[in-house]
Amino acid sequence: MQHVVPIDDARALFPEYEFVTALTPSAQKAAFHVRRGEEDLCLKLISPNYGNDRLHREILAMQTIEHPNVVRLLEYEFSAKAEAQRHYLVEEFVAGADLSDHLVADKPWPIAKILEIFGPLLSGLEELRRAEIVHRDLKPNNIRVRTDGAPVIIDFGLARHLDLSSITPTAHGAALGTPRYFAPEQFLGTRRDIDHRTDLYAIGVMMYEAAVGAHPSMTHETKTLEQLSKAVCESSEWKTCAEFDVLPNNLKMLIRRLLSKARSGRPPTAALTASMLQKVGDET
Amino acid sequence: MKRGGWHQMGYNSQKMIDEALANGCGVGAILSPRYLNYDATQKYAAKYRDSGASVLLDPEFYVPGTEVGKVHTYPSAELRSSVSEFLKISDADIEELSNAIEQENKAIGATAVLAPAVPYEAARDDLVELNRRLFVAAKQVGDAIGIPTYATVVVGSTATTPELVSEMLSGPTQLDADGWYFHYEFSEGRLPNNENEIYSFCIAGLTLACTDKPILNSSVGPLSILSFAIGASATAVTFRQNLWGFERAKWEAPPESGGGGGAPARFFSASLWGTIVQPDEVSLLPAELREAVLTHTEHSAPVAAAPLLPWKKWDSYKHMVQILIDTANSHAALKNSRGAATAASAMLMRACKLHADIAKAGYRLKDETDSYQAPWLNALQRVIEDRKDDYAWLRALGR
Repeated sequence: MQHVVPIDDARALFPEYEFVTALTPSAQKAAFHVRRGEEDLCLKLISPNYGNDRLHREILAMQTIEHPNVVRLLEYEFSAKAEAQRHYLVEEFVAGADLSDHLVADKPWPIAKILEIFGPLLSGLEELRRAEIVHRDLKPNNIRVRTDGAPVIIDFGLARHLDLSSITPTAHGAALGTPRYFAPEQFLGTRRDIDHRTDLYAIGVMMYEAAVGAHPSMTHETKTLEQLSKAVCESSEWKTCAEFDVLPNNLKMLIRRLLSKARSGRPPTAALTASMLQKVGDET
Repeated sequence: MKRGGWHQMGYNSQKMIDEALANGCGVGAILSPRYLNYDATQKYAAKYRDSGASVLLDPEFYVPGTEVGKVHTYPSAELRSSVSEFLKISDADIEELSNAIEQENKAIGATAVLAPAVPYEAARDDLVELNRRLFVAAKQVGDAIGIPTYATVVVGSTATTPELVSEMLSGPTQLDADGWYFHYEFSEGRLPNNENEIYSFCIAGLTLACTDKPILNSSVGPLSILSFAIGASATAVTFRQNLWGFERAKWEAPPESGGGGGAPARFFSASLWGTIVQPDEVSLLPAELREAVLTHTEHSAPVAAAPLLPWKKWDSYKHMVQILIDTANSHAALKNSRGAATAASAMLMRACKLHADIAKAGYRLKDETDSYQAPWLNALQRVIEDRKDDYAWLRALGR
């Protein structure tokens, strides 16, 4: 369930900000586009149900990254004064639209747009890899596309620092995130099976959606999580789709690798993925 | 990682490796605590480096508690313990191990650090985690010295299908390694002839190659003919038959003491891709077949003489290593892995034909030396057909 805070309640709690609009909330945070002076910001009010350890991991993850394709964390505060408790994050506000607004069914992108969006996106993801952070919930709603076309990875609510594997309390295992972009190991595996290549699988799903105009594993008949799980973990029917078949060979090859069921079949890094994506550009 | 054929050290082979490297045969050597004590290792490493060779030290933690051979003379010996104890190794001991690895690698002037690792096994996440910790310890050393760190990947024999191999490799391939030191544990002897196992071995190699990191395919002997076909950058060989394939038992038992006792010299034939007993079998063959079988090197002159001259066993060993390394180097020089696969395939095809010709002429070579070429060829051809995507990926990667 989403953490919804009415905008008027938020205004009352944060009088120093000018509230522009409410943004799509997540289960852990209500989000608002706000202004402080001339500065556009994203204010995220944290749900009391959001575990402290997970929140700290998110903050740790975001603090270590400085990259144009990864959202910047500006402030974090947890305070209690009189009866008012304020627990929030302030991030840069990424003006533009969610990637999901760009991914329209049956409207495949031109190759040039795939390169323009996924190249920088992979650059941001490589920065996460270097910091040993797995996002675990990469999806079009967690990628903003700036008005100048640059993609930005946002919402590190489920991010995990690989070094913290032994103490992470996300004992729910691998099954956190958004199933539509789940890798097989998120359906079947344990948390030890989650690594950078789990994020690369999600990139593969989005790249397929962009190139083909459809999801590789979901059809109109996919109604349940079990059906989706079966399709993701067992089926490769998407490879035979006519719209996929007409793509440039290097792009098909790259998507096939990103969507490998075993992690060992995927590219090991976003950097390698980006360099192979570049070859798609060279081919077309 | 230098491309081409490397020497894998076995019992009493340090001098032969020295001579070979000095003569330009081989691009590197992998030293072994099992076979050479710490002082001698440092001495020979310096000699090998003087010949321009790369030098690596295999820490040999495959059976982590092993006490065989000379392992007790190395600084890392103090950290050895049984697998069950090793799985619980403390952070402090990992730090100690890291120090020992640094000391050893510095002492021999290693060109890369080979990380200690136990063999991977199907459905053993605990081993994946142990190897990750061991790798991190080794990587610290590599980074500190300023040399690459190769993750040791032993595909254990519990990976019985290509799918299990792929699954098993998902663990090690997440390591931030600069390359792979790759062994495959076959369920059968030194020259495996189970086509499906060879197929899985090929899949394992290709999977590692597709990460775009260099691979040193170790403990392969004549199976090195397939190394470059599956994307390896280097292959490590020796004449010792107990190093033709990864066998854990080697670290569980005391080392053998000799090179075949009183058995006659065997001639390794590049065209048979197998051995033939010299002079018993060689002299029996009709001239035309004998000429086809006897592929010579500088070490085989007595076999070319008429009448045949006595052939020293060590010369037969040198001859074999020369052929293995020459073949490795010729495959390494090819444009890409697919080209090497075609070359290996053609060699094995010719070997099968020659074995068939010998059989047709009424001869049966000893020790089933014709039993493995066909399964290797069949497995490789299946791999070429089934894994076109991998070869296309490797071609795009320029390898």
